[in-house]
Amino acid sequence: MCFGVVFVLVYYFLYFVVEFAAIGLAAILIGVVLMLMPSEVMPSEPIKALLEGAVANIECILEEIAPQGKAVYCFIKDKVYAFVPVTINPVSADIIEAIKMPLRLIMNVEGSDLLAIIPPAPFREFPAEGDAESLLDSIIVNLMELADAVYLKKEGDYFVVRAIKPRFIGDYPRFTYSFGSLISCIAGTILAWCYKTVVQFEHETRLEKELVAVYRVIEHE
Amino acid sequence: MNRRYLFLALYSLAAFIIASSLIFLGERRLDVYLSLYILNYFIMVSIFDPKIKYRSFLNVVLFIIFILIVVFRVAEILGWKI
Repeated sequence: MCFGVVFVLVYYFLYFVVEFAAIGLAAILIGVVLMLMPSEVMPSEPIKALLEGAVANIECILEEIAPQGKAVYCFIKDKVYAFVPVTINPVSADIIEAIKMPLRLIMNVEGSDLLAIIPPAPFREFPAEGDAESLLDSIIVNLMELADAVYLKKEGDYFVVRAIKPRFIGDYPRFTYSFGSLISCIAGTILAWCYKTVVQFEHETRLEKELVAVYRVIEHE
Repeated sequence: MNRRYLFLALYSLAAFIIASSLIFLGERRLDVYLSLYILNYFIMVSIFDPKIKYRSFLNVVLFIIFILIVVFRVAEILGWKI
């Protein structure tokens, strides 16, 4: 940018050479954009590697406990937790009761066992407030490069997340059954975070160049 | 290639192509260069959607500059003196 400013000042006002001044203008604009782009963007590969490690750990826990249900993402005191029903799918009231209890790995609520997991997601990149679709795009597309585009649609009590050209990491069948793919897991976490609510992962459909994940809202705060 | 670097590379390449083309055509009006650079910025940003701090403020400033260039050119064509 400084180079551009000097070029413009010298060649336009001193030597009257418009061509070099134009090059200086281009340098100014490129310099401004470079200056305003954040320099501490983490490359996506290390983040994916770290989260895959977390997924692998969760897969081991799920293999041990063998839960039958789908993950329920709950926003509790500035964090998002995922409760995975061990036996049958609990009723909404059980999940809401579980939120009020001290957190343990396996929580027993009204006879239902719930496995409490912190879902693998880059929480440090979540802003305090924000639009859910922008955050989905920012995390899944820009930060982690797990898809080319992500869209969010609300249909009544359901959220539908569509990821275009998704990329999948590893083969973790238990994790995929309870949480869906890593994209679905992060999307569920983001939905609970942004709407400060409880959302249950319903199912995920993998099409040719698209992933569709459906979540049900259990509670609004 | 990382999207961020792709944006920077293509943005710079497009600016270089714009500058060289206009220099080759013998264009001597600096506002023509500036307006095309601004258009290039908006096109690249809309394609790649990069993370830029104060992006809205930058967009508004560049848009105002672009509009002023257009207004002055139109006024010149219409024979108005500003």
